[in-house]
Amino acid sequence: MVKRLGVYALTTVCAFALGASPATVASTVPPPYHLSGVGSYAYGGGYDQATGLNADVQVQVGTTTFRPYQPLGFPLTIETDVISANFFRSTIDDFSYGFGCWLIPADDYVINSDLSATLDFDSSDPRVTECPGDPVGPNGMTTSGLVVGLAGPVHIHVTWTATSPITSSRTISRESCPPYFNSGVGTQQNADAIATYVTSGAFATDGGAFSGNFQTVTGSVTAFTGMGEIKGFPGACGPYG
Amino acid sequence: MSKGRRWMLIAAGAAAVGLVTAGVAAASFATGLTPGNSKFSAENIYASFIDAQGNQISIQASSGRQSFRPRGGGSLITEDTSTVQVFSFVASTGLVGGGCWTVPSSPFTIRANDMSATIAFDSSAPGIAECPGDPVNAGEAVPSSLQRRAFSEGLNGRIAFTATWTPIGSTVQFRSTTNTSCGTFGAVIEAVTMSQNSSVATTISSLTVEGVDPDSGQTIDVSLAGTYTTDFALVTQGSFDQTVNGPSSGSCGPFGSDVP
Repeated sequence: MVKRLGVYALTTVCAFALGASPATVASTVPPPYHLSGVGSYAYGGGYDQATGLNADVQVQVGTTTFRPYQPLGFPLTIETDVISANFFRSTIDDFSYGFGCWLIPADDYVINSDLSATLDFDSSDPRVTECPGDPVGPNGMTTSGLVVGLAGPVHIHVTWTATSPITSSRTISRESCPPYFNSGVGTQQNADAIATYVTSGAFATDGGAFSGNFQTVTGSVTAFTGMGEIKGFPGACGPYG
Repeated sequence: MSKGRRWMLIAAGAAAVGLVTAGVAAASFATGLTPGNSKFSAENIYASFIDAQGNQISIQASSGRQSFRPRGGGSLITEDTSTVQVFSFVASTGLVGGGCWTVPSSPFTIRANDMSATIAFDSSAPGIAECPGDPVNAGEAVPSSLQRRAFSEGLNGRIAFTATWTPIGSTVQFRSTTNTSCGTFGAVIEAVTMSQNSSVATTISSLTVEGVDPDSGQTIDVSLAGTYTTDFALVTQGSFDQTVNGPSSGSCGPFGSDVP
């Protein structure tokens, strides 16, 4: 059975109607608040011997915080599908490099219950936008949110096929920053994967057009869920205030 | 409830669920599950600077058990080490430069009583080498959130800077217990992580981005040396206690399955 894990929104559960936004709840009801979400992550990177192209792509579905590019800008935390892609090609005559980070439509990326997944990305799709800043994680920087060194439409089609046994985890957590507390339960499934690439685009430098059609050596696919109960208000608690 | 307070709660709630989902398993199964008990720790400092011209500089340093995704494929490399990563972007030309280095002894210190921190780094110092691959986020068992590419390019000459982290607000404590299974293997990981928002002041004595100017087509150098400040910064410390049970031979899990 194919199960689409990637399409979702933060929803309230427990005492609140499913689908009500946290904003709505927060404006009318005192704590505690109950939040839940699901998400996934996929990675694949490799090399096309025929064209000399190195490429890797990461897809993340779920809650992502962006560090905006204004000096005093506030972090932006949203539910979204993000891809980050790197390309470089090195020859005797040429070294070209480019990378990009985009928010993509939910239907560009599908993950299945067996942790196989597909990505079909076209940067010229009008629903695609550049990332609103650098994605950041619990420890700080993750990847750049810029689009640099690429020209024209970039196409990335990747299929992931799991190659290892699935590792399943369940985490019970408690985050405290009195008087703010968050109790959570999360699950995660992860497997190594082979990623099969078909990609094309163009470097902004003299390197011009690139293309690749190859199978990666490394890759992984992860699906996760999370549920939390929040008590109190965060005040100046982190990360990122 | 004020609009600002409401947004603060929304952001915190979303981030909290994000922590649970994106960082759900804080341990080190980078080579698959193998029986035994281990305790380890990890420390991390981070700061992101943007000046009035829109130039960006990010600094991150980590110490403890870390994994690297080798370029060209292969199993993750996991070792106890210290790393420093720098990323820079010149807004006027679109040039980027960055690097990732391993350091033989930790270049930063975190004061336990208030989680303030200091770092002094010079990429030309003895014993410093390029990272053996792209670092997977410290303290995460599997790469379940976006990872930084550790390209070392676009820089001309050494990178040298000092920086000081000063705490802002309260310290956040995150405790978790993770139960993991894979085939006939099972594991329990206890983790305690402290996270502290901070303000940072840095003095960069050497950081030159080099690349081809898109307008002139000529190779140019842009120095980003100077002093910068930011309130977008973190200090984190984590300790982990991991017990794995299973067959005495083989392993199971991502990056190292060899199920007997």
